[in-house]
Amino acid sequence: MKVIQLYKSENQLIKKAIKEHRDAQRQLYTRYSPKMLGVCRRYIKDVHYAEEVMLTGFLKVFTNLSKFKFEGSFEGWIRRIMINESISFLRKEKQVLFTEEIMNYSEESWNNINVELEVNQIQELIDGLPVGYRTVFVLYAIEGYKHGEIAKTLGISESTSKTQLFKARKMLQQKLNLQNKSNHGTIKI
Amino acid sequence: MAPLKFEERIKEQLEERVIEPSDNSWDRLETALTKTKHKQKRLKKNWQYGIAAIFAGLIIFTSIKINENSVVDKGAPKIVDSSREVIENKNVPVIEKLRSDTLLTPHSRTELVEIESKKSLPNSLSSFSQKENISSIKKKGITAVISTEEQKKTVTSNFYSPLPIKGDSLNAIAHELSVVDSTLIENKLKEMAAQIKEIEDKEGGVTEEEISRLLLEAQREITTKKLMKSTTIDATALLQGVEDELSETFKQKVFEALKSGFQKVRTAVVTRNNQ
Repeated sequence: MKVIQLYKSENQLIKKAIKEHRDAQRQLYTRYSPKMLGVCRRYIKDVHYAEEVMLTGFLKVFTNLSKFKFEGSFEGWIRRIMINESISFLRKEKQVLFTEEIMNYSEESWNNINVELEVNQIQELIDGLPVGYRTVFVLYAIEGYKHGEIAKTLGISESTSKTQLFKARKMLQQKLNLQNKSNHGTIKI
Repeated sequence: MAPLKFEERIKEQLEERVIEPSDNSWDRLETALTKTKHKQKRLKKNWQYGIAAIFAGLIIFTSIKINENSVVDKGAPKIVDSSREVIENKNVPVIEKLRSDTLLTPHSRTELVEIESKKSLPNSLSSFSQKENISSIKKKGITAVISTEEQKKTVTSNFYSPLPIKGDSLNAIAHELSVVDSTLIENKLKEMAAQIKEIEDKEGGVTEEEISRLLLEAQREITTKKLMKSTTIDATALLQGVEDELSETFKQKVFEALKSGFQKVRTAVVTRNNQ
């Protein structure tokens, strides 16, 4: 019941926000901005830049709100805008470099990693990856994009996306191994 | 404990993660929103002005075009295809299929007459010579085929003097009309001479005014007769006539003005002398 009410109230908020009601816009912003900043932060190391990107994303959200058709989830719609904004920021900064190397890799060893990590530690590990690896890894592993979608979004080939993911995983594994050595066996492989 | 998939775990953890934006972040966004709104409004206004300007321009352009057309309609002389009108005249001989480069010479005319005369001969005898003649005519580039016997006679009669025909039959018809005109003018001149003689006999002399009046009358009569003779009305000639009349009245007006002015001056001079 509460969910339905929330859904209804959200739709009403969106409709008001389309009519440029500042209060409605503010409420939507307050509701989604913390999550969306988290999304932007996955791609962009610096939180200030991430916030800038998030604000630009929200500006686009409110100016193009009339294009939202109330079919899918509103959060998903905003998230997509945020991801695209983050990628275009990285492109502008010319930080994204993709190497075209096809490698054979197995997902078996990677998925068998049993590790207890805090969110901040995970973020640190991801931040340690080169931008190209990081972007593909976050898109694939966190956002749940397929290689085809990643290729389309980043303007690369599917094989490049696969290579980037493989390299990202390999690098993360190496980092986890290093942490394991320094922490004396908190990570089990 | 079964090994958890590493990626799924980090995904869950990252999904739950929230980062609070800075305190003034909403203010910045609001300012940006206001700026964008103003920009959009300005853009919308510019578009409206642009459309209005285009619309106004179109209206002005159309009105100018319409005015131009109306001026052209009023001022431009109407072209009458007089050649067609003349051709339709039943009294005038019709020459069919006359090529533009055809030249009717006296020699060719005699050949045509020969063809006519030979037609009266029995077919068996005349067919060969006729063919020969026709071929010779064709060789000379004459393709004029005269539709009826009467028309042939008209072409070969004395009324139709040797005339180079170039282009179409219009020239021939015009020439015929000019011959009729010249006889008319000659007759009128004779009439005028008789009238002048009569006036001289009666009054002992003829003034220039009288001569000009007679000339004018004669001119009018000739024009009327011409119009009566021709079944078609030439719009250009009519227009010319009207223009002539207009210019004449203007001339008269000028003379009248000069005359009255001269009278006034003369009266003034006489009055001063008397005083």
